[in-house]
Amino acid sequence: MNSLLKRQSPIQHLFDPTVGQWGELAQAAVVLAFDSEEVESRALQTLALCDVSALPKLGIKGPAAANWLQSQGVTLPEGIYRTRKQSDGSLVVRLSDNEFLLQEGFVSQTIQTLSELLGWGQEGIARVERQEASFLLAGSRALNVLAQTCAIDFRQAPHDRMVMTRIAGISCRVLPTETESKARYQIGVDATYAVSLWESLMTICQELEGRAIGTAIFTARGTI
Amino acid sequence: MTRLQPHEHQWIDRSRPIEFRFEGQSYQGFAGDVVTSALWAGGVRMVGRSFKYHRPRGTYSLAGDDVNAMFEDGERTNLRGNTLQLSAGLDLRSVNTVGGLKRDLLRFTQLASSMMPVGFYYKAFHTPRSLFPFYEGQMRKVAGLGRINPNQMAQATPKDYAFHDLLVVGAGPSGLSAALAAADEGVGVVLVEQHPHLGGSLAWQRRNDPEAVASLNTLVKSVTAHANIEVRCATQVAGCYADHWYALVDEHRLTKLRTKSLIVATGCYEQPAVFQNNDLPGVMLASAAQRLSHLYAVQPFKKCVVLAGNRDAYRAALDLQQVGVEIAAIVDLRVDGETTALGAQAENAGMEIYRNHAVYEAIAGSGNTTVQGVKICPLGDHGQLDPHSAKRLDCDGVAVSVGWMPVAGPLYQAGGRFTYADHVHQLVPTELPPTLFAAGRVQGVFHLSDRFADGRRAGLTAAVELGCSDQVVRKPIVHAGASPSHPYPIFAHKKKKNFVEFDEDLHLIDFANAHQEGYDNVELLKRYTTVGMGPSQGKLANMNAVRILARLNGKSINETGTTTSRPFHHPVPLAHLAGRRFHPTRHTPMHSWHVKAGAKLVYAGPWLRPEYYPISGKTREELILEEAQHVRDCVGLIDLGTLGKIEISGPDSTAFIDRIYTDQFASQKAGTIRYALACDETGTIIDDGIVARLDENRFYVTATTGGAAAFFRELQRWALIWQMKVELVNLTGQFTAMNITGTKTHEVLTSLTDIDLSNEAFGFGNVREGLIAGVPAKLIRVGFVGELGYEIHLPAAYGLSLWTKLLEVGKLTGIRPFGIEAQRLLRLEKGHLIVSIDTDALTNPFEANLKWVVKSKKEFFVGQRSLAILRQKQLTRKLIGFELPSEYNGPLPEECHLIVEKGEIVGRVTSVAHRSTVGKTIGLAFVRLDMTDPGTSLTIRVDQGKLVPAIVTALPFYDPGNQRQK
Repeated sequence: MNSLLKRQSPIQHLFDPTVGQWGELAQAAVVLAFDSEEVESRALQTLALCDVSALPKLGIKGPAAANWLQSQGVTLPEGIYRTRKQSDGSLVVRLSDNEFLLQEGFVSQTIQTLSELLGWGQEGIARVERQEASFLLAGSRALNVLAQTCAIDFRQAPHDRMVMTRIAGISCRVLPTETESKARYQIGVDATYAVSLWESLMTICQELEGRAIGTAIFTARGTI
Repeated sequence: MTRLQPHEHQWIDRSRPIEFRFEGQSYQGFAGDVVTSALWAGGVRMVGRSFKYHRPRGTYSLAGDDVNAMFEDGERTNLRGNTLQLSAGLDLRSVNTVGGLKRDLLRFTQLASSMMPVGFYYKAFHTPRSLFPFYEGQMRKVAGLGRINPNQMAQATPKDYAFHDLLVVGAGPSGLSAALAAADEGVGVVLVEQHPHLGGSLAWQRRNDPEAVASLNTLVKSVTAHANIEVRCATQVAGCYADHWYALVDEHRLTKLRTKSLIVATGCYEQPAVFQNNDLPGVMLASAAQRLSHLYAVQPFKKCVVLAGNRDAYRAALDLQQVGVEIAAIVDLRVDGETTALGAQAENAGMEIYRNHAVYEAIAGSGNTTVQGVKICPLGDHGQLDPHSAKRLDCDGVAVSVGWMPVAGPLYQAGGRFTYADHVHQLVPTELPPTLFAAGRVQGVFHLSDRFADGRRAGLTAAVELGCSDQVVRKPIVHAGASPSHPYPIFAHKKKKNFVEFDEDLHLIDFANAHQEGYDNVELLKRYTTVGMGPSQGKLANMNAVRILARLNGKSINETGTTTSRPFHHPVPLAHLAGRRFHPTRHTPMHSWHVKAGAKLVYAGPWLRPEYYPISGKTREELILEEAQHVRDCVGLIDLGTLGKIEISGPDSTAFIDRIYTDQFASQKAGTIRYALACDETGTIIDDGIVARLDENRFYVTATTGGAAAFFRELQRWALIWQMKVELVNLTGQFTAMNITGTKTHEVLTSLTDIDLSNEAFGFGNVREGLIAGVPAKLIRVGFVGELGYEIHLPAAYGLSLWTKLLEVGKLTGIRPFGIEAQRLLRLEKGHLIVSIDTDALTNPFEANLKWVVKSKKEFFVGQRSLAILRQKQLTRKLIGFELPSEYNGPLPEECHLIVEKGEIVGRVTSVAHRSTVGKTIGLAFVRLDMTDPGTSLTIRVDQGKLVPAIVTALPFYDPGNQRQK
């Protein structure tokens, strides 16, 4: 039976369906752009928050997980909480010796392929459902937003290492990345807290003259 | 409004006049003024009244070190006039008055001051006991300062974190030098200054010293331009905490700062002298007079007497003379007076100097609101005054400069220890942790060149300690020359208005009385007299209080000791502490649908859940019953996204589950579910749910909404302790769930799944994995509400889509959503308990009728040993069902109402439904063991003590044969 259902970001209802340009990403309705490309590009440089929850995620754990992933051509990060971006834009995070979190890129199909191959799991490999929300905080004032919500000094955070922390009182994983010499922070959060987190971050972003942007700006690049 | 001639370093901006109101009168100041400087410029001498006697008070420190000027503006209260920046539209009133500042009705209190010695209320107001509430009410009316406006809307303020290598507190000559020296070595510095401008005491104490001004300008320019230094002005270091955390407070926010090192260059508070009427408006610290004239261009007096105990007094006298103040005399406490060039300079300027003299009394003008003159007396060999030789000097002000006390709060709180040093007659830090440094006057270094050098030394030392420099560090500088502080500027008077503590109106004699009553320890004296416990936290009182106590005890200052300094050192608005008040709320994927449907939402822990779905014209109780009845008659859908969802897999998963739950799971077949009860080590019920066995080594278990997070942590803890090969995954947020239930369930569900839903293929108590509307899901055949029903568990991202699909497909069947209240009613009819509602922190399975899931013969489970002991004991209570007689028509019981017998408590109601689908008021209750038989009469005591009859009833109330769910 083909799926009759659409995936949805846990904060999709916060966006007015009549505002901005809407499209689809990995079977989920997403806002491609709230405003012109010029406005969104400018926000990306100063302060922008983007809902990238639509990017599929997959968790794999178990004693055979690492070998199985490598046999599928996935390059694994070596240290715990280290990350490795794959050539197609997908991302692998090592959560422990035997546990990995994979996130699809904007144009990649890696997660979908691996998910189908894995099914409910295999000997020595357990599938871990990953339905977290993901937000991208970007721009020169992103650190100000983090400073108001989190006790970690992200100025010093390495760009290939995930940080487990609390933001606005909510347990999150933060992945600092660097694109075109600009620091960006991908924030993963339990989907049930997504609305609370988004609203807290957006309140602060707006006070700092930041704004929400759509995903189109990243789709064109294939990666965040 | 008259102001002195402008010069470049004044803090006011004359191009920006600002109108404001005080006590109903209009005044004008300038941007950069604080309120008290603008008031003084406007001719206002009385800016507040004292706490206890309501004596008129004027500007005293002009630095936030006193609280004579405390205002409220209708929204905010206890605003400090010495630090409150003037802003347009301010409309201020003095706190702590009845009828206004001038006509304060409580001013007559001072007439009875002789009957109100320190501690009088301890002795006067405890008998007769019956009058204490009256005393308390009256004292609360007159005590306290500002009034809180309860209608003020809460304002969320930002609170942030910051990180630097080094915090330098204080931007005077030492702090600026320290920051620069450390930054030059590559250290990242944050320099915090409480005033709006850099410079510290250089900004007001050395304005007529061109060399000092030039040094300041150079330093400020270098510091502000330095890439390694972040400057934060108008910011207080309100507290220092372990692990180098500091609370920085500015007008808008509280910043939690973390550094690797700390330099304290906070300088000193100028200290008062104690003499009769030393609190009159017009008596002020010399530094306050210098601030008024140099920073705000306000002439402090026309003609003044300078009370001197050090060199700084002469500098102040010369400064005041330069701005047109006539110096009536310098009254120097020291035998030899000032022997440096400054002394000669003062004499050459025509100032009359009385050496070895003291001010005996300030002479009050009309209403004690001004100074008319002073009486001065020569000092005897032991510092005593001879009132018979008193001489009157006319003046309208007294500038007091007799000594200093270090601003030691940050150092104390950061782990520093102080010792009294006789060469400077002040406390100086002697023990500092490795990453804590002091510089400048706070550690007794007073000469300006020494302060620059000491700052550089501290900055460089910090850089070396941080590994940023390998330069050789100098030893700390020791002050040379005359002491900058007088050892005992305190003078008795036959009357009793020589104040040691301005906040609490404590006279000199109060200390002698307290000491006489046995309070001879500094901590006891503090608490009895309340010295240092007022809003200024003893900044101007503690040192003199210790001096007085030391003299009363005949001991040294070091033997006497000092009190403890704790955060906050300065007042912090509660809004700053509260910050944005993040209150994370959890939403299920279907939340937006509930909101659109107008559901009445209710908090269940952090979750927001639909309580019921309102329909116009129907009451809450009607709707809950209607929703429940619809489940019984047709089909309903409830959001179970909040349910705890945990996957347990691995070779030891069966053994692990057997050890966690009381029931036996080794024999459980794949594809089935079992009710599961978990206890703690004491045998107390902590959670329940179902265990669904998906295959040999893979289980999916549910936990209660409120207990899921704690239960998962418990699972992780036991997995670690037992070292078992299990994988635990908390899927509570990854999956969502809903329960479709009612007689017509199959009519809705069949078309959406290929799973065979027939009783033969998928009976009650089974679980299947398959596709629902094309999405991988788990389907669990449950009976919590007593009808045919399936819990559907699926990835959260599809939750809302499936919810709407089920409602769409079931529309013709009549499907209807129901809330948690209907579910609570339905399960109550089935006699199913809810952990934490029908159980408490002591409930064991035997009391809760769950003996059937306790398998004592198992090898082990958590709580087994305790339950084995409990099994041997007689139960004291048991959970039973009850109903009200059908003819009863009185007030209805609520949860937690007590069950009584002959006036004794014999139980309590845990759940109750006033209306149910079985047509009765029913409930669950714990009762004494001899009252559990069906048919037993109970009496429930409801609100207002009314007694309600009830009858014990066999459970369940509905469908005893469980036929409907099978």
